[in-house]
Amino acid sequence: MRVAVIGVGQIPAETCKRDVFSDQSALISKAALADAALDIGQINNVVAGEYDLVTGRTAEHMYTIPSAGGYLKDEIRINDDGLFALAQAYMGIMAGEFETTLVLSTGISSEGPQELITNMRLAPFYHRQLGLHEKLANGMQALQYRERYGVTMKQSAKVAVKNRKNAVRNGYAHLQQEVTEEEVMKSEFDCWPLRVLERAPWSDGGCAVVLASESFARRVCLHPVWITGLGWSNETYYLEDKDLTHLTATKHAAQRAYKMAGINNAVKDIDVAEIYDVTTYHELMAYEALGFCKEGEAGHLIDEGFTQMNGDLPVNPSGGVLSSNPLSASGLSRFVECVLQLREQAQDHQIKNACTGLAHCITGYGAQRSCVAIVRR
Amino acid sequence: MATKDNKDEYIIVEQTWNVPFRHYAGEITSRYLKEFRDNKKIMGRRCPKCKRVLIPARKNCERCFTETDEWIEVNDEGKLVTFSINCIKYVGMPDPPYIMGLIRLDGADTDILHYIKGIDLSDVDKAGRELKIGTRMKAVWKEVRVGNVTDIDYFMPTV
Repeated sequence: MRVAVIGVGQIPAETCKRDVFSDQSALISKAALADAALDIGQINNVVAGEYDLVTGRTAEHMYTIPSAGGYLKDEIRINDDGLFALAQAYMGIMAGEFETTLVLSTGISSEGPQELITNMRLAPFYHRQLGLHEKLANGMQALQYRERYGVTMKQSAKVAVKNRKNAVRNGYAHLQQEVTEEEVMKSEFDCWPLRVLERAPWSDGGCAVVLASESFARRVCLHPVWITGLGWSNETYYLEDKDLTHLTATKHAAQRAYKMAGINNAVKDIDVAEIYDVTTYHELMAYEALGFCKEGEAGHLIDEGFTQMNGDLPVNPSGGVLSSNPLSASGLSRFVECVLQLREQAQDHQIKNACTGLAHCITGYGAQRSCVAIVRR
Repeated sequence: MATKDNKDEYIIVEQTWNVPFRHYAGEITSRYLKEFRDNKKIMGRRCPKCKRVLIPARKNCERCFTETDEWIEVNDEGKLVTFSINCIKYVGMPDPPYIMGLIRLDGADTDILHYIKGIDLSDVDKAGRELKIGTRMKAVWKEVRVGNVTDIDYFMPTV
């Protein structure tokens, strides 16, 4: 028994959709259903991955799931990125409960001040009162990592240059202008040491995935992509209580996903990776946590061009989160991009002969939570 | 699908949340904050299993899934672990520039998060480069304390 991906859909990321977010959910769902060549009657259940508060509502799925085709269907929402919802959906099919599941992530960031919203997620006794928000935590993490391993500003800039260049060839990406190393290293400071071009923007967008049991997929799909590995992990909430120089949750999630997929050598066995590059430094830290190199050596990988489009292990051919950040859908988008690569439908940003893909996501303060998915064709 | 032409004419409904909550701090967090208020002391809790002294004081050590069982006073001075300087004005956040840092207090095995002041921020990049990880920091307490994390006004370099 395996779980297949038989459809993926996304809407272009942009600054502001100027639309009711639940109507965007319908567009996203229809895109995935059209790709799967299914009608909504053939979908058993919907699993959404969407954050509270991002659009000024809580329990956003009470709007998004019905409009995405979940009317009178089994549904559940994970209050996290859609990649975690995909893991939930996978289990429902493996359990034999469902044959077909729609995984939905509507990512609308434009309706409210996201820095303040990340502050409101914090514990009221301590952190919320101290002007902390996620970008500041990312700045603290980037600085500690950079200082520990001597990662240079130039190496950080190379990550931004790579991903923004890739995004120009991806019609769904939000920021579609190339940047130079000099532009990155001279851009305005956001949360020092991070500059504006070293961290993700806020975007409106979203994506959906149709999963099916192996037997269902065989009947309707000529070339399904298979989920062969999944792992997710959660470490402490307290920024004060962890070594920020490592993506520990990612390391644990990857170990589980690799074990399940039978991956012994990540660099050899993975052909394309889509990484949650919320900052340039987080992409580098992910190289280490995912086992692409030893701890502290990610700077060399980017210097060697190892993760460029034409490198040994291309990372973020889509342009990554640095180019498009539809909050809630940014992780699931990594998965959608991997599927497109494996189906050779990534158009202008296609990698040659990609058979195995890795999708990665980190969420929360100091990358508290992480999910890693492995797909094969 | 809506035509792109008339998007500028769409109505925008503006709303603000203003919801008062009352959060009970419980036994351990209450004592932690009362020590701020009454004694200007930072009291951590020791985990009997891993022996770490945890701040903010908490009832449970997540790593060991064990209840902490001992109050340990830690110094209100320590070393800067990392920091970031907020340089852009964000809605609902303090006016920039401001520094937020993690400090490892002497006697503690976890850090404390707080504002860092006493640094000239007229040139943020220069300030960031000159403020080294490992710098000794001390708490500056407010005169009027109410039993809140902000009873510590900020941390600043000891020299």
